[in-house]
Amino acid sequence: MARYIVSRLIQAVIVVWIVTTFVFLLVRFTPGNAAQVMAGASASQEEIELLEIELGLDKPVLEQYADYMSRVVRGDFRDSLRFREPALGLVIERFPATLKLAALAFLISVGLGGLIGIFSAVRPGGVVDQFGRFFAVLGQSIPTFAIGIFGILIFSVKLGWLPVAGPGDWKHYILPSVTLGWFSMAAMVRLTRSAMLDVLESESVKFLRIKGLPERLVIFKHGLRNAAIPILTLASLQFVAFLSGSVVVEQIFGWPGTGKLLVESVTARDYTVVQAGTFFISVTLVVINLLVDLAYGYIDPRIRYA
Amino acid sequence: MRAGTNTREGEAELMSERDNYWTRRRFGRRTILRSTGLGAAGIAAYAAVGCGDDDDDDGGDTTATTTSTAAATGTGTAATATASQAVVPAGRIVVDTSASSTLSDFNPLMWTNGGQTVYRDSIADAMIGVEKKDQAFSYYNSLAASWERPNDGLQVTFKIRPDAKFHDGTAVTSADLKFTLDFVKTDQAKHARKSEWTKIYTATETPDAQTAIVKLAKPYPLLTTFNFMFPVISKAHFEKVGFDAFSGSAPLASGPFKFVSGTKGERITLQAVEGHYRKTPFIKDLVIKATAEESTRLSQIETGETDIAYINPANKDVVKGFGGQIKTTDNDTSFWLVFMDPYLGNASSPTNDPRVREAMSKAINRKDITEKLLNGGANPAGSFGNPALKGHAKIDPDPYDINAAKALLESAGHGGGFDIDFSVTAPVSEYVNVMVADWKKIGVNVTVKSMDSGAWLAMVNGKKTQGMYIEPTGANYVDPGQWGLFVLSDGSFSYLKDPELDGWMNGIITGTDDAAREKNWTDIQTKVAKERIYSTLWTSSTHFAVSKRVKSWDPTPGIGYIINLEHAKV
Repeated sequence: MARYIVSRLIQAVIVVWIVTTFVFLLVRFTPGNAAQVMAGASASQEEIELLEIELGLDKPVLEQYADYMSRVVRGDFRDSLRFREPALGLVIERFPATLKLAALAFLISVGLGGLIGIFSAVRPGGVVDQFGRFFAVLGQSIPTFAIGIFGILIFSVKLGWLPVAGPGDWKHYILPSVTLGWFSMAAMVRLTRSAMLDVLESESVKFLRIKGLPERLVIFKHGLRNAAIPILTLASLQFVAFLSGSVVVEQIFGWPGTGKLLVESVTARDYTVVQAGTFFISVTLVVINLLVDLAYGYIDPRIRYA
Repeated sequence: MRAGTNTREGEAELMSERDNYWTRRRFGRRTILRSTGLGAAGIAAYAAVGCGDDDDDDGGDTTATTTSTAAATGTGTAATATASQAVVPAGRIVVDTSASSTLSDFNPLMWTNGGQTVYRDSIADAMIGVEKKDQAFSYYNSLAASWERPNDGLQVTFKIRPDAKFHDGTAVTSADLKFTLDFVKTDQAKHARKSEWTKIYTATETPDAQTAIVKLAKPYPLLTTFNFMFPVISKAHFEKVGFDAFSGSAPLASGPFKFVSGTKGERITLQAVEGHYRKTPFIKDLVIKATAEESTRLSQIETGETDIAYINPANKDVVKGFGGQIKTTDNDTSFWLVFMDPYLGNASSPTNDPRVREAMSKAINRKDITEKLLNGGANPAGSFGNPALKGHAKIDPDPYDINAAKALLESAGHGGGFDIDFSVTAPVSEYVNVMVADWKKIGVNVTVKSMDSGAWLAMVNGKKTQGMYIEPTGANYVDPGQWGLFVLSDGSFSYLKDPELDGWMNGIITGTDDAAREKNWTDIQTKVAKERIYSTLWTSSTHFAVSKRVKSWDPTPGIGYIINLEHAKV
């Protein structure tokens, strides 16, 4: 198991290094001038050049890269060009908002979607199954931004039940989290149904039923555990997608999370925040994937000994 | 000796105003207060009891309006203070600036983009205020009780209102004005006019707490006209909390609203200053936020979650449909076509010939574009700059005439057409496609190079590109001197090297003779249009959606930002 963990850790470090390097190159070679942004739109050329020197942008790219990587390992991404605060701090400050949204979306997707999938598999062709399949097609046919806008129109503007956008009390979480989780929930319904159907029709499950095991235990203890690997895989990918892909939802709902911050930073050429944000998210995702890998090993011993 | 009355002189400004609603880069705008300068004590007293240009119902003048005479100053100040005490702020207004960059710094002196104007205008007062009156911008004294300037223009003496206070109750003094003016020159400062100010500003003397003598290397009329330039901040508080805290969590100034809390890039909460020396707001709480998505902003206006927001004029009927209100400015932003090749030394470029530039201009259907594609939110124009600027040259735009354009190209030896690049910001506006199609009709093959606004800005500032681009500017340009950025040889956004234009513009920036400044501005616009240096396309108006909750609020004509919130009622 130790070897398994170490190998995963080494892979994780390599992934983070590749991502940070890629972002560095992307930012450097994208048209636009960070010093211009920092100096302000009406700054003189002289002021811009002085800033370029201060930021090290006048140095050869390799030298900039070496300086950048030495800062990365210390968690120093310089100050945001727009906000003049540590870039990584800004990202971390906004991460809880994204995390809350992702967690709720995850709950909706995996919790609700998983349950619908399970009950669809238990009674194929039943009411829940019919609803689940319809729901899955519907969910995957509507773009996320459209779901968000429809939700706003119906539940906020017409019915007045929920606030339109922005952070606030519990009501403010409903529309953005449902919007974020809707598409993934549909996928979860389909996958869970399929995986559970396979398991519930297997010889081992038939044996358990013949043995007289209560149906509840057959489904949730034995059936679900045997179907868990693909579900866990999808769930982890979804959570990762919620964290890194909440950009659209955060923009629509004016949600003060990292996705919105990153989009605005890209637009504003605030490259320090772009780098810090990408680094932070990549590390987060790598950690999550690492945990999932470890969970695989726990659920299925064949994996950790492979 | 020139004395500061309600009249203007100088200018106002702003910084980078490159853009208006459609470019999504909002620039600052500023503020304006209302009132009118009065030239004598009797008239000031009359205004103070609710006459003049005051539209509020608090029974008092909304601004300090004053003249250079001690008697008039004293009367105006007392009347305003009494009026302010009668107002008890209540309720809340939420405004949406649409762009997070507008909330990037809480220090009102750190002026990086025009969109910050809503915040700066609310939290900080300057010496001078500006408004539009009788179709032209005019100026009134805000923190200043009066000001004087000798004929050589090399110094300005401000008398500060004795009743003006910061939000912590301490008096605004000459030391604070000196600190403010000095700060803009420091390395820490980011300010739209920093480069210019550094060259012009010498020092400020403070013989007493109410008197500040600003010494200048050259005359600088903007100092007494452009209220957005130098919102005065508290020296004592700044030194107590430090630069970072002042910018991040503890700004202190003397505007009608005080800072309560904020998250940079997201939201700011302000609260009314009761008994404010100039104008106690009607509303108690003011929230400023930024929502990028227009459909979300519209929904929030409909539900009342947001009260005032910028909108695309295409959505004005939507707003009216749910009972909201539409407010507009008038012609605050100019759009014009810039041909770079003549200034980059590209000798072979057809656009070196003024006839070619004229042909390109005549192949633009300004009328249809403004009416149909811009939804009536803009008007065809032949001269850039706000029509409310004194000295504005009324020049008719080129009529749309494909045949005349072809003939001009023929006469210039380019009847067979030519190829040219057109750099625009993404996403490409529909009117760009229309222009390209029309240019195709006269044989000009245009390659559209679409880029994000950051790359576009770097391109323009770096003066490295070729072909042409459209420049949108002027949302809060209330003095012709602000246009130096685009006219002077060393202007940040100027490709020009024209000694005559330099002379006229320098005369505007440093001149103290009103008539001469106005004439210079007329001459500049006339020459630019006649020689096809720039091809003005249209001037646009900013549109605001206002929720049903708002009983009273009006933008300042000619200034495309949300300001004057102390006069808003819900």
